[in-house]
Amino acid sequence: MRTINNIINSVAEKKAIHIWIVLGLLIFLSAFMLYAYGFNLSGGHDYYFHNARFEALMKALQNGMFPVYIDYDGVNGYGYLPKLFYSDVILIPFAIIGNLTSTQTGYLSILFTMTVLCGLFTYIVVNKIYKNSFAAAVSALLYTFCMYRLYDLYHRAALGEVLSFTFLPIVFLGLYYIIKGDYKKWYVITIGFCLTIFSHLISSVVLFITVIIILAIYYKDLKKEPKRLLYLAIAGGASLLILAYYIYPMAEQLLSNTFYLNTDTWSYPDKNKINPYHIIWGMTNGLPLPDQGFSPRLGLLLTLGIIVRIFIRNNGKSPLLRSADILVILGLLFVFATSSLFPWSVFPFSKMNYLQFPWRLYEFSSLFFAVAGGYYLSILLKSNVRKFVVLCFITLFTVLALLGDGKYYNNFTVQYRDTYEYINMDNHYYISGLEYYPAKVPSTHYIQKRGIVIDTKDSTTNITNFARNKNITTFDVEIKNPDQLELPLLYYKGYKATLNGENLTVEQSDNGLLALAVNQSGRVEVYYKGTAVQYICFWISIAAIVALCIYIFLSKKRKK
Amino acid sequence: MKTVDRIINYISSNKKSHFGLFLIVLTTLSLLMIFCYDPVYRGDDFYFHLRRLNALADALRDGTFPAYIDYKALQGYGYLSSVFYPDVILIPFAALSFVTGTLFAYNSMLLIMTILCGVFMYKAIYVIYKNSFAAFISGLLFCFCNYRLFDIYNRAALGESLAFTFFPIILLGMYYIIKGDYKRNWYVLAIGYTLLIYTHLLSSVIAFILIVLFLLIYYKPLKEEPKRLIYLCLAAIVTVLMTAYYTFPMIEQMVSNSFYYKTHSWVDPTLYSTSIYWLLLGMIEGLTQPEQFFFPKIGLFLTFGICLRLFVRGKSKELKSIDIFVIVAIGLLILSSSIIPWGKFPFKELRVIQFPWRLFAFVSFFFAIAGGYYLSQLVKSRRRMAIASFFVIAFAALIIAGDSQNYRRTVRADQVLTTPNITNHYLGGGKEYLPSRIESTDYICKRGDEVITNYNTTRISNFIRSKNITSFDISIANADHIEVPLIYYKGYKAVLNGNKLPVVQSSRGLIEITANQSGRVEVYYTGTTLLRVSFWISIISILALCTFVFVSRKKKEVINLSFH
Repeated sequence: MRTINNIINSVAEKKAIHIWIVLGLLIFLSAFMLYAYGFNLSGGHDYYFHNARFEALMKALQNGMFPVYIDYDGVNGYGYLPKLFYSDVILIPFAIIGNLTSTQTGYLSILFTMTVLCGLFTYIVVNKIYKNSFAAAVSALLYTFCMYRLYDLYHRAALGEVLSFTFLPIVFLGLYYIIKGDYKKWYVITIGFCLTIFSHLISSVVLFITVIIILAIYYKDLKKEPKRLLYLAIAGGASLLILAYYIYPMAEQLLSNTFYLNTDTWSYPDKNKINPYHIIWGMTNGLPLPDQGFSPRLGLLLTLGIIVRIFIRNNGKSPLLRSADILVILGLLFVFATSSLFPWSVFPFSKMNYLQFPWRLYEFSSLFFAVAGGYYLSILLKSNVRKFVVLCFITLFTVLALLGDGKYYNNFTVQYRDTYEYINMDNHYYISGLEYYPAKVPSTHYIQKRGIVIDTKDSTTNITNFARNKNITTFDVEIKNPDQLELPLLYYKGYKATLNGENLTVEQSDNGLLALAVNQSGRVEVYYKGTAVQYICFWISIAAIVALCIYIFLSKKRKK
Repeated sequence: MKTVDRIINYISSNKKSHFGLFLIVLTTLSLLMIFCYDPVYRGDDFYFHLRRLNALADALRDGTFPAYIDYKALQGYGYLSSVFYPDVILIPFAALSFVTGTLFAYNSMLLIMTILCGVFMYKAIYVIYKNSFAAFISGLLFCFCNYRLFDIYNRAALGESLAFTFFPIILLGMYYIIKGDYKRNWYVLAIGYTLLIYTHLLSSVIAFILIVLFLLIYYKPLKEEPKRLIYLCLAAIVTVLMTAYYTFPMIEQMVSNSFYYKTHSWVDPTLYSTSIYWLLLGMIEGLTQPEQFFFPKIGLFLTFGICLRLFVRGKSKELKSIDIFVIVAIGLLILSSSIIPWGKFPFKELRVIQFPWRLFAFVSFFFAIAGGYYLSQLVKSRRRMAIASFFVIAFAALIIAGDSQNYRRTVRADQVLTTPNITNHYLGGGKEYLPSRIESTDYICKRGDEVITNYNTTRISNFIRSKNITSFDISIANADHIEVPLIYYKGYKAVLNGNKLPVVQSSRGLIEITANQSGRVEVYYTGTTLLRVSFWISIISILALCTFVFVSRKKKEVINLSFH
């Protein structure tokens, strides 16, 4: 017993090795996660959508089309362009891995790497702010393997949101520097924000609102040193440059047309609220049972983490304790906002329909509860042995959660999809809510029925030698009168068409497809070329990133 | 905010109000439980216990109590569950059922026993640990723990679920014997254990083993004052006398014959031990989701309570005792898990317990005590006590609300209230109390109301079953062995023309008599002499103890008065 005590105490004193222990634990648990859930990811709701994105990027890198490309195999060959709406930046290194190995390996490497990084970033951030490695380790484990993240990873296969989990802690470290710390490190919030936006746009919007709320809470610090606000503005400006590759081409595309995402109402938050019993159930639910439906929830560990608050004695509130309390209150408000009691259909919340699911807020509640829980426990547990016991508990619990949920995922979620569903037009080729269809497209059924043909207005027009070679569609056209052709391609800004080497104007047909006006016979070639904005913005981003790296390097050097 | 503070302060400084407050909360939650879990008749063993209640009510009405048999069971063949399964606690509710009907009586029994369970727990903890907050929390944790709800409703294991009520009395009794004023209060243990035996035998066996364990753990105070052991023996003797009505007739019956529970064992503990994964899962399952299937579990409520130990500082005798409870309970948890080889010696000898997770009842008991006490050590300010109490109450209400939904949706949702019959296990899950020679219940049903004779010259006529009396006319040419359509149990009486006939067991486990003259035969269950004698032994010893308690209390009052 005493030897164990001594070992624990000596480990506790060697602060430098803590991060390595945590990293080891994270790698072990992440690997265990892959093992527990198995390699079949097809059970997740949005898996096929994200996998198609990933494969399109892999192909673009292989063909050398990157950075301007379209998923030309998508939607039965009609070409789908989620890339402009859903950023691919974070996926790039993994797509390279995928090209070197296999798509599956590449995809799994995203999950593994992002999980390890999620824990690592959380550890570093909490350790920097709260200066307590035990609190940081607890927070990292609680957050990285929280129920909602597991739900996103496997059951929803919501890759974008999963990636955003990893970068949230960086944003809050940046925010800490802006509000309380060394505001000269303004670039931390820039980096965090850019990575989050490159991962997932909806999460970033919620993040933006959250950041504003926190700034409002800590307005006193900003009032005292208005300079801090200036650096925040600099951070914002830098972000706008770094993000150029993603946001301006998206804006261009959104302005050019209306899409399903503008017109659909199935995903309004008001329709996806959770009833309060279910919320509380989710907060007290320890491990997923193999036979029960999995639903978004917070999970027991996070709830326990914040409940221990009532055992902390108030001997003069420290600013750190106050900050943890603020996080908990904010997190609870977010939880409340997911409930059916919250008026999502009333202004101003009715303006936030793009949020789709109110329970997306769980991502933030989970982070806040994890950080607060870690900090509370670090205050309550004074002896190293007890700290060790708690860490063991959390690890064991996590292992059990992964095992149990993995079992459920394989026995139920995957089976259900394999047995009852397969990819076809009835499930819209699994491209989620078809958000990026031009609004004029009647339905997926229409596309399926229409088939791979070119429609002409004039019956005397003759189309021959229709061929598709990767992203290039070619055919011969023979006309008697000038005619309007409708191609089996979804209309997006950036298509280029030539007839006998001369440019044709590309328009949108009434069915949301590509329309060409032809006034002579000859050979037509159509492919997605992209817009000038896309190319320019790509280089703006590259330049801005390089510039920021140089700035950071220089300012670090100066400090030394 | 200030008014709230004032109310909290008023309540916490007014100590007398604590118990009243607890009683209000307890009653409300108990009523909520009864209301939410309606209808009560879906649990596994419901019809077995309903039949017991009905048979007892019939016996009270017919005036055959205490020597009675369930003569309506098995199409009139009779079933003697009352001797094997104690009926004492049921008596007032059987009487109530005359007025209100069985279902209402059954529900009132659950309500009253739940309230008593909480009250006893509160009192026991309050006396031992002198802390009303701990008593409050422990009472609620214990009363509405997942395993108890599971027992009452999903399993409808009435005996076991009523047994919970008396655990606290035994604990208090043990406290008096080991640490407290044993001279004045030794009988508490006797009362508690008697009530437990009268409720559920299997729980009493486990409780006995635990009592021995705790005596070993606390051997020091016993060694210092060996007198305590003498009082323990006194309590034991009194218990034996008071439980005579149940134990002796049961032993007599068990010795007299071999029964299904021994030969047709259907529950193998090795099949029902809980895997570690499910054990842990059940410990951290908070609220039940309406669609999931339900399994025996400890529940988050209790696990959370013992986890609080990590935050408790300091050392005290009380804390040590609680820690011992927790360690013993964890030991019991391990025992109920699949890592214990229930098929091997010595566990093999304990296979009567059928389901190793029965131990959860005791685990829940110890965890509830620990949870209340640990929480009382951590939460010191009055306002936080109020918040913690509120949380516990709210969580108990949510457990009831959610779990009952699950019960109503998943447990035999199509089952309606029917008369007990073979398909709904009204003889108990394993038909435990049928003599082993009975081939099957199907055979009994097929055999019908026939009296089987050896010679075809023997004629049987005017066969009548009237309540507990089976009678028929017989005319014989030669003396004949005849088999009467009644299950054989010791205690049957057969009369032919007013002369007593010897009753033996036939090769098929039924009643066989030898008729040597023609005339009218009457067969009925009168119970054994031992049963009647033990009944009076019990009555007298209970009255004697009551008198003793009354007199000694009065003496105490006189002493107290003379001191003032």
